[in-house]
Amino acid sequence: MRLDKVIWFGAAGLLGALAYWKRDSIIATLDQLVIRLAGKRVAVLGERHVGKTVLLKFLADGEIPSEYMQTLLPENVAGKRLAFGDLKLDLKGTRDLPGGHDAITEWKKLHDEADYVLYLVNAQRVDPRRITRDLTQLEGWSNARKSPPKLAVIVTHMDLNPAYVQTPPSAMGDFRDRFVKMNLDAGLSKLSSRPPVLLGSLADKTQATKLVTSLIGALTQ
Amino acid sequence: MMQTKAFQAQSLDNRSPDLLRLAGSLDELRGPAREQTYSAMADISSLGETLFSQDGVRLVAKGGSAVLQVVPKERDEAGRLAPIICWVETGASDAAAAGDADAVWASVLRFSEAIGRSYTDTTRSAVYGALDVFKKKNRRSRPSKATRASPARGRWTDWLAFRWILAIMRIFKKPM
Repeated sequence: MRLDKVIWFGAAGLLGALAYWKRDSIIATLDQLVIRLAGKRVAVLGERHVGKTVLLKFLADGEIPSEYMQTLLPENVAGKRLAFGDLKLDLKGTRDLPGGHDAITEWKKLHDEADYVLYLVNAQRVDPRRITRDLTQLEGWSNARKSPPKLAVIVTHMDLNPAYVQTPPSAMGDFRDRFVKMNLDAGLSKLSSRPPVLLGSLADKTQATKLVTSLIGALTQ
Repeated sequence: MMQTKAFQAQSLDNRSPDLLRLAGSLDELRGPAREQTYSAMADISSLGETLFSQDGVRLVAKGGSAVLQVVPKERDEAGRLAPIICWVETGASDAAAAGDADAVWASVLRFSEAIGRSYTDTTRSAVYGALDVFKKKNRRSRPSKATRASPARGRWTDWLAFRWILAIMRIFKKPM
């Protein structure tokens, strides 16, 4: 065998050994690269007790938590490829953030990294002042970015609203318009463009799937 | 030496402001001090490693700093678990203080009693377990006295690596 072949085989062997030795970090880097190319980062924001953690958990593993807990500090949430029928969305890892005012800097950091911003409102505890303040703040951050994220407003806990539960699908559009006008107009009217508003519930997997399916539809339009 | 620096909790009515207090005086933090404290705790939580998660107690550590989350018996108005967070720091001293965990637990109790939270014995045991893991991990991650006393050992491994690179370079330098 010629010497140059020996050298090439030796180099290939050395690289192979190095790749095997560093396999975990190489796989992690490749995964990151694939996610970076294909994935979108979502920021789930909103006041306390609106369902941020539940939505993130459902997006991450398709499950609704059996036990609910207040979120006090940021927690990492792994990325996930979502597939609901024909609708698909690759999500990068994100953070679950608290809704209290102390976390405002963390909100901005996550907002500035996000492709989609989901602002959640609890239908049972609508606070127009807080919603107006938050949406105005989100628009200010969004305007400061070169490529602003897409904003969607999600109203959760609608399963506890008897009128919503009794409304047939054919009349849901009118119901939503009325609900938004009565509860969210103060905040939404301050924005230069109105984001899509989705009503739904995260009470169980069926309702969460329905809500997330509409959400993916709204975001990928 | 392990000590508590600050405590955090969310109100049970989910409307009143969150609590963020100094561990010693239990004074509510305000202004830039509050922002810096929250930011430091958020940093540990999002960048740290979870060392313990059991029986309603979770400990996330980043170096010598940790945030200890403890779930009390009381729940918020929505029926959710309402944990408190304690920022714990370990000092540089190697001396294993036997009363460290007792002091941290006493501090946790003082804050919790002030805001009306209480714990089961299982939770108490889990806190001691979490602090033990944190203490051991921190002791392991600090260089031992033997390593610190023999810098020549580090130089020797550097020298070996250098010789290995030279040997590879020589193979490529040889004429075809």
